[in-house]
Amino acid sequence: MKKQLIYLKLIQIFVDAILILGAFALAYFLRIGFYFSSDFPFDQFFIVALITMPITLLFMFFIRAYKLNQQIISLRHIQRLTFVALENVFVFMILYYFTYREFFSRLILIYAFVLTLTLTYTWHVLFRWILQKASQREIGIYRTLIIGGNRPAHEIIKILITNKSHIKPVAVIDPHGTSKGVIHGIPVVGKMNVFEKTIADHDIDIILQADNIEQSLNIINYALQNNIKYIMPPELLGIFQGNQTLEEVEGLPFLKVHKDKKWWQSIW
Amino acid sequence: MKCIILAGGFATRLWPLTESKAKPLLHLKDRPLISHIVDQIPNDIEIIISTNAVFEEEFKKWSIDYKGRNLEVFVEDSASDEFKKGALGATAFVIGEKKIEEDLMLLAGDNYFGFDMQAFINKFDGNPMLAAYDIKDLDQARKFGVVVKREGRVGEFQEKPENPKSTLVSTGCYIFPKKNLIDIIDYAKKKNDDLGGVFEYLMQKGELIDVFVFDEKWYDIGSFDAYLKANKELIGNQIIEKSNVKKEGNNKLIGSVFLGRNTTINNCVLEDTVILNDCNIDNCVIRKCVIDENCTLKNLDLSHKMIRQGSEIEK
Repeated sequence: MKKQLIYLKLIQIFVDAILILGAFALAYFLRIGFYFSSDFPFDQFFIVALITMPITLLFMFFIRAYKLNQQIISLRHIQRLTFVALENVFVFMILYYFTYREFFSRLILIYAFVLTLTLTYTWHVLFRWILQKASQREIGIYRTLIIGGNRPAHEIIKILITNKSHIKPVAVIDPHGTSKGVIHGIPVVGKMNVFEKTIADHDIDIILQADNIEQSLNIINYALQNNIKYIMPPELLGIFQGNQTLEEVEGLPFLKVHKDKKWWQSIW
Repeated sequence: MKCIILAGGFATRLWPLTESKAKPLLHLKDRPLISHIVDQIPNDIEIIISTNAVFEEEFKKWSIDYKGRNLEVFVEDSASDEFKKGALGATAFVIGEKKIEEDLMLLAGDNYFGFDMQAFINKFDGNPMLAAYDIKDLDQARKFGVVVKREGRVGEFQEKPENPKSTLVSTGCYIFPKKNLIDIIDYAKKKNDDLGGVFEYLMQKGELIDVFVFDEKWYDIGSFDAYLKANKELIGNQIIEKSNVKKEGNNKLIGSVFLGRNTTINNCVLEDTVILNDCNIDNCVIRKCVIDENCTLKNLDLSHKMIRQGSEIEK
């Protein structure tokens, strides 16, 4: 990951930590009132919240909530954070009980759950906007070479530009040749004979192959030898329909194509 | 008579084999494609290889094998596909620069001609002449310049027509008498990449065009499939091994296989495949592939692939 992106991600995690603690504190005051109760001491409540918080952040990592390519404005991400918020209150509840052998108001847990979910999701949406602004200013972007001048390539370039993605197309190589000099503002630099030159000239971080499957083996080999990330859409393998997921069968990776996505498959 | 061999194309469709070498320098059967052409041309004819600055060094290295031959590598000034002069433009450029004032044989450097070049020259009697091959398929003929033969001459010429009138196609082999060189220069100013068009232009001017029809082998190496086919048919059902090839373990070689210098194969199945110099192939099944120089492949099943020079791929 780019150094600037690592810093940004660290800020995101730091703010998440503060928000999780803030959610607990706010839940306490909403339930008890805006004072420190002697029956249910705030300091003992907050110590358990402090112990819970790193476990919750670990869960964030486990469910890949910090992955750069995650779609933040999506039901999937809300589901992820719902799971994290649930885990947060469960872990807090168990830790509190095992530490102090005391029960407390269940409404605090409900408040903590709702606040954790609301605050972290709002922050993640805001952080997405920050990332987009950073991408616009070329901070932490991945300079991407698009291989292909076909329709999927056009669509991919358009989406990446519209969404101000950190995967930033900077040049296009059309293996079949095209009369177009630019695709959505990105220059078409030529055919495959300028492949190496383009990578050097544009300081490429990612090769996105959207066309010409017969060359993929050489392109992947070149990418691996030169520490460049290689990605390709499923269309390149002739997979135009259905839902695709990567699955492991006996440790071997397979691309699974299934007709209908059941509702429960959206949870994980 | 002088001969120009056009070798200035960037051959992007054959990437990565043409990444660092021009199409005429691609390996065919047992030597570079252009060597097959040069070896056919009578020794008394001066040869000018017209190429671009990118491939200059490669051609000069190749031409060392032809030291005693009257052969020159002529470099046009284009350094990329977008700035290339085009086949006809390059020809006109060489004619102008070298001040050619004699009959001119013009050959496409990416074609393999199986016919006797001396017989072709002997047929020349002062009219522009082209070599034509009966491709025997109207669909295929659409991709080429189509020749309609009348009374032993070209009666009509159709450049890549939708509806070909004949299956006789023009190959990249021509002779122009010195009187028509000016027509090449004139026509190149209008269409610098339309070699076939120059014949239509000459016919419009009332020139008679002779045709040399042959049925020996001819390949236009324009695509990987054409390149594979040419290698397969020229190598035939045999194994060609260059010096210092090591075959270890249990290997199965099927059909036409070429093994380049210092190549090692170990427990491999190879079918209709060309493996160039200094490769190390271990436990692979490779069918209909061209593996460029200095590659190391291990535990792979490959079919119908061109492998880039210096690749190291292991599963």
